[in-house]
Amino acid sequence: MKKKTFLNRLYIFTILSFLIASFIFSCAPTKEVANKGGGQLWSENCGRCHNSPPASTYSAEQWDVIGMHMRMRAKVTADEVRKIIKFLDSAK
Amino acid sequence: MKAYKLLLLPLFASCLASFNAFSQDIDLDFDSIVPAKTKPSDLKFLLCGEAFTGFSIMDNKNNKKNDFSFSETEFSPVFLWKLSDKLIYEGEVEFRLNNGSGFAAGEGMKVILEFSNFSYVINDYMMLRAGLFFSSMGIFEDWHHQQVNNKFVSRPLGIGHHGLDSGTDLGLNLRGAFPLRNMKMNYSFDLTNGPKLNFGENDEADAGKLEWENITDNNNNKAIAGRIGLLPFSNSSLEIGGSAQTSLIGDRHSDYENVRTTYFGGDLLYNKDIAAIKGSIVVKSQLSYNYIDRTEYDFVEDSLSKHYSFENEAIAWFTQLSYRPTQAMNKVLRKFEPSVRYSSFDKPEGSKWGKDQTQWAVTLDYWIAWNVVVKLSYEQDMIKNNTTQSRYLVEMAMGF
Repeated sequence: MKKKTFLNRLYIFTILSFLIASFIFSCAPTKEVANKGGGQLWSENCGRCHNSPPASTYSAEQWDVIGMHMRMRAKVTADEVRKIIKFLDSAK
Repeated sequence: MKAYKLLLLPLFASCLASFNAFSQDIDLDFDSIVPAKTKPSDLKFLLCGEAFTGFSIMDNKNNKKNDFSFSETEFSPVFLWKLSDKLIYEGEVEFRLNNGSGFAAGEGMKVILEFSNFSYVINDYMMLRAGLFFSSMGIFEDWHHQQVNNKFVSRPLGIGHHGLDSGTDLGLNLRGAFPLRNMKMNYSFDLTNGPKLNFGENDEADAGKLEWENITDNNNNKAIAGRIGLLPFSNSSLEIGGSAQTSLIGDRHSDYENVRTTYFGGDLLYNKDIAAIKGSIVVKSQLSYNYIDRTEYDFVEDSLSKHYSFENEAIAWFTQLSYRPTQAMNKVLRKFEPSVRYSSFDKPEGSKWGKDQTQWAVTLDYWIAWNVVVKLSYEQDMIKNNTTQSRYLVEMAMGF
């Protein structure tokens, strides 16, 4: 099989797999994941690319901006961002 | 190839449709996007960014003394405006002292618009972005290239901006993330101006290279790129991603108008606290593969015009490991973070640009604070014709 044909088919297969996975799996998280608190989500997500700043580094308004920015750049889920911001506000 | 093109747009459209199945109602109430009467608290602004400076000692085999120079210095403010719960703007400008002399713009100082875009929240699983943004080709440029995030002073060979990936591009981007039971999945799809083919019009040696950062498109064909990331563990410690990009790159109505480029990439990010080693490890890896359709390029030899072509495929990859003794008893020891990286770049065989090379790099980072780091690095390049180049690099970087 020519390399280009193989790569094209791999590309299509990847897209199709993604579509199938998104239909087969419900978006609903398991109870264990859904019950995670903001503190746990903070430690799991916010140190993946950089050191996590202490909660006191920014004001509540600034954390609000950072949360939306990280949701967009780091692709943290919306629910995780909401819980993390709530945790950071309470931790100040 | 035609069947491939025919499938691409419907697949992209069905991607959008599939997320619609999980979406909340799309809110077209423009007053909720940016309220007509804004109170001061509706607009939230944050100035952040990074700055760095350093020096290098280059191994100079021609002289007994090595080349020593205070080198790249940069200040990069990032402006974030949250206009409402639906709309946010991000923009970054880089002020960089690079090469040459003179600290003014147009002399040795470059001013670069790194990114500038608006993001609109469609629903919990989809955000639409428009403007200049990091492309979906791999993750190094989007997440790891910032000097305060990059454990090393330099980039891996052939990865990211000025490598096989685009860095940033102008266009539209659709992205989001959603839970999948115990896992998470994220996606990012681009529709951008894309690259254009350098066919050696200014320098014959550059024929076959891709040129990015095109403010105007050289043809009506837009580049389509996408990345899908999967976090298979519920603690988000591991992310595995795959990306692809394709576009026509020749000027419209030229001999090269049907030349296509295709990119595939894979990436991995693993981050874990491990009690047994009293610290945390971070593993980062990315592979980038790029292919450009075989075509003929002109060159002049002995005053005669000639043609040549070559199999235009290039591969770059890197892998790195970092360790930080976060659980060490000694507080000073906890601030150190050694890392090691291996990277490789294979240029297209027959091209007149680039060189096959591999690189080992080791670095010792010292974190003065969570956002301030001093790096001591040593790098050694091994080039295919058996020459080696080595350098010592020192850098201080700060995120703010």
